[in-house]
Amino acid sequence: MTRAHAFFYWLTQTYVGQQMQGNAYLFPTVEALHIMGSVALVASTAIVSLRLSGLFLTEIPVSKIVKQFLPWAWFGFGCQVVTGSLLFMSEATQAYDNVIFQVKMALILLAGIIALVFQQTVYRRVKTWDLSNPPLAAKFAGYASIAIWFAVIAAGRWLNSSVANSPVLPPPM
Amino acid sequence: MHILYSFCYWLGNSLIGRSIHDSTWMFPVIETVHLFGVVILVGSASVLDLRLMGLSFKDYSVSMLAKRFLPWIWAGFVLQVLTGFLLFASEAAKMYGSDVFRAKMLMIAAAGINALVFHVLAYRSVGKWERDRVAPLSARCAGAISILLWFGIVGAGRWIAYS
Repeated sequence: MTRAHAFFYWLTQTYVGQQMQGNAYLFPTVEALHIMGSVALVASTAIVSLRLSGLFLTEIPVSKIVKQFLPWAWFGFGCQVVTGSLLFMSEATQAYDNVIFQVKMALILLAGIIALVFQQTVYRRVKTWDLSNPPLAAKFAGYASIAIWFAVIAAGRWLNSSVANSPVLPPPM
Repeated sequence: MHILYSFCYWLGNSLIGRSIHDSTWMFPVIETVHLFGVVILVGSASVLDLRLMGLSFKDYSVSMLAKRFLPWIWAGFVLQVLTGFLLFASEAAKMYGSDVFRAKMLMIAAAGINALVFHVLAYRSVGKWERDRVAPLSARCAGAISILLWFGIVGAGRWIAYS
């Protein structure tokens, strides 16, 4: 607890952490970029997921949709990691032991695990179901990932008020 | 008193405006749905815009993408108008004086005009160029203007909270 706290306190004291707190324009600008990144990440993921669930663009092979939209999802993910880290650095001590922040991180991890398991199992045999009714496992991965990514957005919005209302912890001893 | 201000003042004091303003949970919940709508509206619009600009999805014809994504664009737009109206109602008098809010509304109007101009000009002849990997200049411009405006609208939306 105290060692983790010392690390997160150090993050807030770095040049970047200080700029994020001190510059009145920087935080809202990075926050706006974080919302723009969520469009790239969640929209591309949702399009792939809807295709996996057999609900959208069913006339296009699954593998082709994945090939075309996955780079945009990764681009969005990169934007989110960079802007999210900057936002985190400005209030690391308040965020890290905040339950909503932990739930948001756990949800992102869960989405990653589902994507990885999907890619290593059902997606290996995609050629056998590229244009037919997707297997149940693919449909499940699609539904789950849409639900999780929208929940991540909701947690992010909730985090905004929750961290703002949480007390600023004193520096570690 | 300016008639637009009278309307904002009335809306802010109406049952809807007061209920959202006085509730602790309604504003954040509606704002969350507004964020979901951003993904649906701006995400779908971006797919078409990137195709028109010739930056992505060049394997698909423009009319096929339009047919598939326009329903999502409209669904997202309706969701944004509804949730945006509720958010506006809760602080209407304050929004009346906000320059960022005015800029956001003007950009939405500009995005609409841009889409309309594209629809009646370049899209009329879409059959001739929809399979070209590079769309005509007017279509590429419409795509670029649209994507810049929509991301500008998202940015302005975040800035309203700080203005």
